[in-house]
Amino acid sequence: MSSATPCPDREKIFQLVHNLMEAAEEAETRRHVLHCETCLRVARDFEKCDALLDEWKVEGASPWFDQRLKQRLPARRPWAFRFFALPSTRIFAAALLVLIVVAGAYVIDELPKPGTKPEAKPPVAEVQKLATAPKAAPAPTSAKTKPKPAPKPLPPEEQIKMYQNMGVLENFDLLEGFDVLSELPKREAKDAH
Amino acid sequence: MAMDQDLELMRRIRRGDAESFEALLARHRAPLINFFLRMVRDRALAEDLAQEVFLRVYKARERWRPDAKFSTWLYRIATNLALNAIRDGKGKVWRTAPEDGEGEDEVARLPDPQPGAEERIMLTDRGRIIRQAVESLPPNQRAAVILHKYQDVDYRQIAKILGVTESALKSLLFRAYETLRQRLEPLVREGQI
Ligand SMILES: [Zn+2]
Repeated sequence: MSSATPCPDREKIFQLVHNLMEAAEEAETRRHVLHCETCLRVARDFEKCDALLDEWKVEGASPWFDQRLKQRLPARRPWAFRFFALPSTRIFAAALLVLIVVAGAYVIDELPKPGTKPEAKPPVAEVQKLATAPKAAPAPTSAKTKPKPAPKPLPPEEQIKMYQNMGVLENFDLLEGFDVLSELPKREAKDAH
Repeated sequence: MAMDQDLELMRRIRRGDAESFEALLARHRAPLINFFLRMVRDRALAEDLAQEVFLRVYKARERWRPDAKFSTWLYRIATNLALNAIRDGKGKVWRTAPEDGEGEDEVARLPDPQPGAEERIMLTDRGRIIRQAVESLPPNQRAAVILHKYQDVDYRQIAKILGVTESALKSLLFRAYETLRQRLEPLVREGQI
């Protein structure tokens, strides 16, 4: 009553108590209510009612809440799992596997067999040297066997005599002129006899 | 700050981060269940509805756009669910069918939450009178009072949640609090002695 401004209606006092007013309006209403016993009593009633509502307590979640919620959530599997679960992906994967197996078999077939040495290709310079070299002497059969000077051929009668001493050999005509035999030491031929 | 945290969590959930969903759950689980406990009283139904909110948030994570405050969106879903449950009858327990039928049996096996001894003790005569006074309000007024008084939601947000103008919301709250003040007057006087 002591306030100079007219008393606001109950709704305005309610809005003041519950912070529902814009700043400018709130300041003006507050000034009046603080100096008006009637309005102050109304405001106190709203405050008491508000404080009383605090006595209604409820208690949060039950212990099973999260567990139940997780069971209701749509299962979210890892993206890789979802990708490979697709039928199209499975068909593609099977086709890819077959392709890999076939390609693998082909590659293995093309590889050199164990124990066989791959033919070493001579360098280009070597090839050219060989091409220009005279084709006189045949290549030696082995690197270890050095070409020896051809032994002096025995006189024919001595050759026949030698072959006759070798009991194992019978077809003298065929073996006559077989160069390797000429390398046999004469002592061995005698021993054999 | 809290709003930014919700937005960041939602961005991560949208990218499939399960831990962020758990963090969001931890932030809003208790307030949301308390909201439903006050709206529908029945604990099993309240937890079902709270789970439904989280399920809807999870399912809508890819469509969600950060153009509104997250808690406004959350409570809009929650309020609609609560008002629908009240309209359909409080005792009616309904669930969203789990995707692909997963988890249905497990949900059925879990014990339904029951009010514990602590909760029963908390519901004293005064508490029960207050609860009955709030429950006797029309559903829209009940939702407005609970959001304003117990969930500490700003009145501008409540207006958006209920889909009304700010001035309409202020009138709604005033009528609700006037009714409560009249119904709870004996308790207010009792407290003064
Ligand atoms: Zn006055």
